[in-house]
Formats: sequence, structure tokens, C-alpha cells
Amino acid sequence: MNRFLYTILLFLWMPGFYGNSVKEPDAIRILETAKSNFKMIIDFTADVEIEINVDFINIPNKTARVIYKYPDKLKFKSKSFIMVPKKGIGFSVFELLESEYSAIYIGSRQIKGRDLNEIKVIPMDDKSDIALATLYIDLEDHLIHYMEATTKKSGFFSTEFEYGKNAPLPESNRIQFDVDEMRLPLKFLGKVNIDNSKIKENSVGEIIIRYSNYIINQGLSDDQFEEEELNE
Amino acid sequence: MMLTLIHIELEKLFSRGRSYISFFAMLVIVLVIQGGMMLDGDSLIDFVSENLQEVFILEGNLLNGYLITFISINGLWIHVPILVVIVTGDMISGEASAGTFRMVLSRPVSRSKLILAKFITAMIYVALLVIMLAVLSLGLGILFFGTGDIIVFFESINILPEEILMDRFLMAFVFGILSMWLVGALSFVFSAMAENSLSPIILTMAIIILFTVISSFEVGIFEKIRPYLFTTHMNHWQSFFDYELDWNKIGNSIVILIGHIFVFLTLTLIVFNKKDITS
Repeated sequence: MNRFLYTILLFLWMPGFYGNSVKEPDAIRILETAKSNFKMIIDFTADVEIEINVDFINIPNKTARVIYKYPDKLKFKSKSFIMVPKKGIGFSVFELLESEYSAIYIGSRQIKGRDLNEIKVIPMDDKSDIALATLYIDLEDHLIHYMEATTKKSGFFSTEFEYGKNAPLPESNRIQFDVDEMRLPLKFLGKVNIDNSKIKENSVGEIIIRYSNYIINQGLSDDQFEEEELNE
Repeated sequence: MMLTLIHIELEKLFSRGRSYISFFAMLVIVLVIQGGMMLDGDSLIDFVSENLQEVFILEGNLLNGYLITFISINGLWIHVPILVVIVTGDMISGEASAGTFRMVLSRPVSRSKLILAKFITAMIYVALLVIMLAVLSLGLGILFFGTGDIIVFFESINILPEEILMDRFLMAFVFGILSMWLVGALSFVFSAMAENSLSPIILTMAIIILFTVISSFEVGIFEKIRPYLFTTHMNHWQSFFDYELDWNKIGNSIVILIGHIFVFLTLTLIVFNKKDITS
């Protein structure tokens, strides 16, 4: 039902609906180009540094090793304790684009001095946690530079990518998410006395992941992910 | 002279079977906690981190020796005073009820020196008890579960890296020794007043339980009383697991605990020096 409403609203929003005859870029083609651009990366491993900025979570910057295989296999390895948001990591967007979706081109916007094309994506798979995603893609490099998404379970999140010599893999990934949607463990191992007014004032948490030492397309097998999961 | 007195008191203390009950109880409790964690620790970690796991991918060894030590002392700090007072509460009144004081005081030793020797002996005993708790819980915990970061919830969610944890635990245990010295000192006051072994133990525990209950209420009149209760400050061992150490808060608590110890020792000396020794 929600998906139906989103689709109706988006159609009403479309300039073409009101008879505007200006030819727009094809949203699906932009997305598929970005996807095929990224698909050159079959797998990779990289070192990551994770910085968590949430008012009521105190954690030092952490380092870990990440392994990834297109489109949805992702594993962080670390001896020390790390927390990485399930939503918003750069590569999860391609998991979304691998299943059936609808896309609507909204227009172009300048963000941080770069002309980006705004595209709304609605997953057609009922199992998808993302209800609506907005991707901002640069047509020059075919990379997603910014993404916003509304999820069914975890509220809103946005993610910003910075690219360097390893593009289409990001050098850093800044994820912002709704903190008030997080249900926290109550009294245990101490005393949680979180200032709720502080959460309402500053309801966005931020996690920055910086990638380095990429090793790309080395032929990671699925077993490497499964064995790790079994060992957990 | 003083060293001889302390030596005699230590010999008397460790020649009694009762003195070993606390050590044995501590060993059993720590082993039970470690065994329980070995059997069902993973479920506990899942339960604690269940909500975080909905939003975050969590990775790393959370079920480790440090976390288990933290859980152990979080629960044990309420019960260790019982193990302390069953020995310290009996050190003066035990002699009174056994009728040995007249014989002891017939020797050329002042009452104050005798009490000081007993007090120092009690403090050595208490320190050994807390050191044993530290060695057992940290040692066995690290041996069985390894090391790792810990996640604690004090005012906020603190994830403390393992590199700093040994220092934090050592500081917390030293603070714990100070807290338990206070318990021992309080029991000495009642021990000096009483003629039997049981009353000082019951009175000391009653006061600690009452103050702990008041300390745990954070509303109304209790909120105003809390800062003045020594039990509130005894609980500040937890401050060593804040993300950043608040030395003002910790220092304030240390001064208050030491102050209480001196007041209780002085009271003990006054009571005992004025006491009519009839047994």
C-alpha cells in the first residue's frame, strides 16, 4: 500500500505529468550504467577505519578488515569490538538495484559544487527494507555520490561517498541515520541514563568509514564468508 | 612493638578456620560465574546486544575475561561486605566473648596500640580478600575467555578498548579495597561496643543495606541525602569505567571514604578506651 502511494506521489511530482515536453535523462539507464560501472568490482578486501559520532555512544575510532563480493556479501573482521551500520554502507545500494525496482528521474542538483542527477528508486520486492531511496549520480563518472533512504524498520539514513584513485570504490563513506529509531538495551551491565531531550535535539547519528589498501578482484570464494559466519 | 602486635594478630586471625570461609566463598562464587558464562555467555551477549544488532553489524570478541570480571564485580560488590564483616566484625567482640581481653591487656600494651594492631590486621585481611577477587576473576576470565573490549552502560554506552582495561580494573580494585576498608572500619566500631560476635556483623550489614537502598533511590528526599551516604561513594568504583575518567568525582569519593575510615577508627578507639573490660 505504501509503495502504491509513493508511486502515485512520485508520478504527480514528475514534470512530465504536467505536460512538460523537455526530454529527461532515462533514470533506469543512469542507474544501470552506474551499476555496470561498479560491477567491474567482483570482490575486494580493504582496511577500514570506523569513526562513530553518536551523542550517547562513546567509542574510539576502530580499524578492521572488510571483505566484499558483489552484490551482497560483506564481512568485517576485527579482533576488537566494532559497530558498523547495516544500512548505508556504500555497496548495499547495488543489492537494491539487483532486484526489481522502479525509478523516476527528478532533476539535477548541485551538491558540493558537483552537478548530480537526482533519481528516486522504489524497490518492487516486498522483502526489501528500503521503502524509498534517492540516489544522486554524477553523469561524468557514473558514480553515486549521495544517497538518502527511508527504511521500513530503521527510519531514515543518508550516505555520502568520496572517491579517489580506487573509484568506483569509495575512499570514505559518511553515513547519517536516525538515532531516535534505535531501540537501546535497557538496564544491564550498568545503568543507562540517556538524556532523551539531547536525543531529540540531536537526533542524527553519524558514522564515517575510511577505506584504504584495497585489493580488488582477487577471486574471493563464497566459502570465505560462510566459514567466517560459522566461526562467529 | 607495633609490628609484633600485628604479627600476633595476623597469626591469631589466620589460625581460625572462619577466616578462610570468605576466601573459599569467593573462589566458589567466581568459579560459578565463570562456569555459567562458559555455558551460556553467548546467550547473555546476544540478549545485551540484541537491539544494537538490529541496527549495527557487531564484530569482535565481546564475551571476554574483562567483561566477565566486570559482570562479576558488578554483582559481587554488594556481597563482598558480608564476607568482610564476618571476620572484621568479630576481631574485637570475639575476644570479649571468649574472655581473653583481661589476659591480653594485663600485658604492657596500651588499648590504643592493641586496637590499631587489630585494625591494621583487619585491613590486611580485607586487602587480601579483594586482591584474591581481582586475581581470580581477571586471571580465570582471561585464561578461559581471552581479552577484548567491553561495552558498559553508564550514563551513555561506553565501548572501552582492551588496551586501557587492565589499568582501569586495577584502579577499580584499589578503590574497592578502600571501600571494603570502610566496611571493616564500621564493623570495628560495633565490634568495640559489643560483647558477642553476631551483633557487630548484623548491625554493620543492616546499615550498609539501609544506606544502599537509600542510595539507589534517585527521587525526592533520598536524592538530597544520597551524596552524604558512604554507600553512594563506595559505588563509585564504576566511575573507572566511564569513557573519560572524572578525577574530581573519583578524588572526592576517595577523600570521603578515607575520612569515614578515620572517623570510624577514632570512634573505635574512643569506645574501646572507655570500655569497662569485664571479661
